[in-house]
Amino acid sequence: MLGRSWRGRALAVFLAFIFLGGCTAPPLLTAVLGPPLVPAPVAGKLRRPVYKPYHEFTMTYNLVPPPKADWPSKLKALPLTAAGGTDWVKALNENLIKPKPGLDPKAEDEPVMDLDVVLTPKDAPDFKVTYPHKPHTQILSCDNCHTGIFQMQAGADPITMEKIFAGEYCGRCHGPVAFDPASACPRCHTAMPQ
Amino acid sequence: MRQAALCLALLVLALPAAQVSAEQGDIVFTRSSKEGKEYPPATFPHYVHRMQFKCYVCHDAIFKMKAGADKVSMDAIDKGKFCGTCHNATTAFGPTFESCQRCHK
Repeated sequence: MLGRSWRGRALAVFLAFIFLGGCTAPPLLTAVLGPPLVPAPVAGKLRRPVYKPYHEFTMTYNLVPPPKADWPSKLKALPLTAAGGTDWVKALNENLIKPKPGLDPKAEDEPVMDLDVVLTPKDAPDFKVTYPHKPHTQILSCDNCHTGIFQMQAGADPITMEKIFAGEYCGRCHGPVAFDPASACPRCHTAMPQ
Repeated sequence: MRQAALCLALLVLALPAAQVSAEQGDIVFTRSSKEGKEYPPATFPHYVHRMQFKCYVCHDAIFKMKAGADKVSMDAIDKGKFCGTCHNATTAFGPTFESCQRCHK
């Protein structure tokens, strides 16, 4: 009956338009229902839920406010190391990221120290480690490491790879946050072939 | 109208699920309290923060450099400690009912 006469067909098309229109993306929806209602900002530091009338609740298209910046794509734009992780040192030196030194806009960078510390194991000189202070002091302050993690004297700490992999010494950051020591031996053991 | 509401509800439910991804340095906090088990534990994305601030802005004054060393709680955050130092709706987004899923995802 609905498909035989031209009136029935027109009605079917009209109904299809209405029902399909209800399930399409917001642009068409907003044309029919009007713009979404913006939830009122939550006052102060109040965390408790502020309940709204049901229609206002459902008319808000997305309850989670989208982040102001698209961080995952910003991360993908940064250079990678040979091991495949993000090369934060290169990103900083090429001004691809500009991490601020503090919340205060007048905060100043802490001084960068350009000093390489060479640590040579007595029984294995080929595994000597060159530790560069420069890329570390660009983002860290002295008291982040000294003297809670490292003594301020070359060779004063009994650093071993086992302890690093267990999360001590270099392993406090390298592995969880900074580049994984298991992925890039020659970055520290500078005498090893690249 | 009801269809539209259903579609919107589905959209709202589907969006946060698509945003979950793990990057190096992400810290998933272990929950010690029994209350609120119905929502997931908070995930801290290190990379978002290190793109904007140097390490010493947070370490060690606000957070110790050891997982589990700080007892972070929502009450402490409301009082302006830990995450609440910045996440107070003025410096960064505050812990409101609308923003739960930006950390608890």
